[in-house]
Amino acid sequence: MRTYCFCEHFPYLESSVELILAHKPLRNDLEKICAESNLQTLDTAFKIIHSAWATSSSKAKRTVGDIVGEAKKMSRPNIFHSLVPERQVPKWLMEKCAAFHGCNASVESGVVYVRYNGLEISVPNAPEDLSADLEKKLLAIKKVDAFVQLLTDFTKQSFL
Amino acid sequence: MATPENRSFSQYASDGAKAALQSLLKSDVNPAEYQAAMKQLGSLLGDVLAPLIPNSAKCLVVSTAEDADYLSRGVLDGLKNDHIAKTAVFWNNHYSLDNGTSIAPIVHKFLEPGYEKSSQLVVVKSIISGSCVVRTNLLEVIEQVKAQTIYIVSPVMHKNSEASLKSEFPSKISKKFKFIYFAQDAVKEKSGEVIPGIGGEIYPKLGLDNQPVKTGFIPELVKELTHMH
Repeated sequence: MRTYCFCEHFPYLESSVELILAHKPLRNDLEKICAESNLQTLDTAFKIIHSAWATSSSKAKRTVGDIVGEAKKMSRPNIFHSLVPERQVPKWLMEKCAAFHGCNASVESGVVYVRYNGLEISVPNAPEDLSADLEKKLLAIKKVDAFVQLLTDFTKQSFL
Repeated sequence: MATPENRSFSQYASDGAKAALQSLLKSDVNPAEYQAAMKQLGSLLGDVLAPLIPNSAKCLVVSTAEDADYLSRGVLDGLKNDHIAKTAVFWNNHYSLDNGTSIAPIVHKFLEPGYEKSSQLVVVKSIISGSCVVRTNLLEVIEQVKAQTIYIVSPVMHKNSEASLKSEFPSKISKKFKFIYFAQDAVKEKSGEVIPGIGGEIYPKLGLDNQPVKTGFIPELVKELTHMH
């Protein structure tokens, strides 16, 4: 850790938001690790990394990678997107989205998103291939609200 | 009607607002009654808010998924009579980290097209305790919307929440905050629950099993605004 770190004190920036907004190098690094620039995500990432760091024993030998790895495990959803393996939009999802005007799927930094008229559903656990059960459910879906419901039902499994 | 212990009312609390707050505290309140009381509180808060915002100003009303159909819809009803109001709804996963810090990252989001042009931000929450969710949802939009004023709107706040929320932001942002609430409660339990607050945890009170992100719940307001029906 000591090889790669230095310490700087900002006595007048008491909250994480103030620190991120005022200290550009910190913001740049958080943007790199999250692969996005939204302030909410960066602040959440800061808090998670801080917790992973602050709750460990100071005597334990740990690398930067150990702390980031712990932070990733603590992050629900995983907001450390630069560490998410790249993937494609599953074929079944692309095809079903095409059935509804204005509905589209994309992968950004390894996470699958479906968007529809301002709604953005993240489906980090979207399966690559169709199971028989999923195929049956998809065939029965004729309306976009039922499709969006299926997607949020997928995502909720990651949080149970 | 007796005022609950450790509660004080703001200048905005009408008799109707006090009665609606009281109905949230009934031990035998059912979800339909609770939803109606929340919607009424939203409408009353919207009525307070509407004259404070110039008619020409565009508003963005931000809420959680659980508040969207009741409190937020009520505020929108109050505002939409004479304002252009857009809607943002966020599905937060609210939990505590090992060091005790509370976080509420956003999983899904709805941002009504054209929201970026708003100049008045209205962040709505059924109760403000530690202000983690309000803070998160405000951070999500604050760099996309050039807000002149940021209204923090809630039926009930803990007495320390205003100072706590302000301390999280640089003064160039916090000086834009205006707090609109009906009641301020002085007591908070270790769990973070404000007493009497809104009568307990909101999810079962509204008839939800858990946080919307854990149940797959999609508010009717979002279905309407995305033209799903």
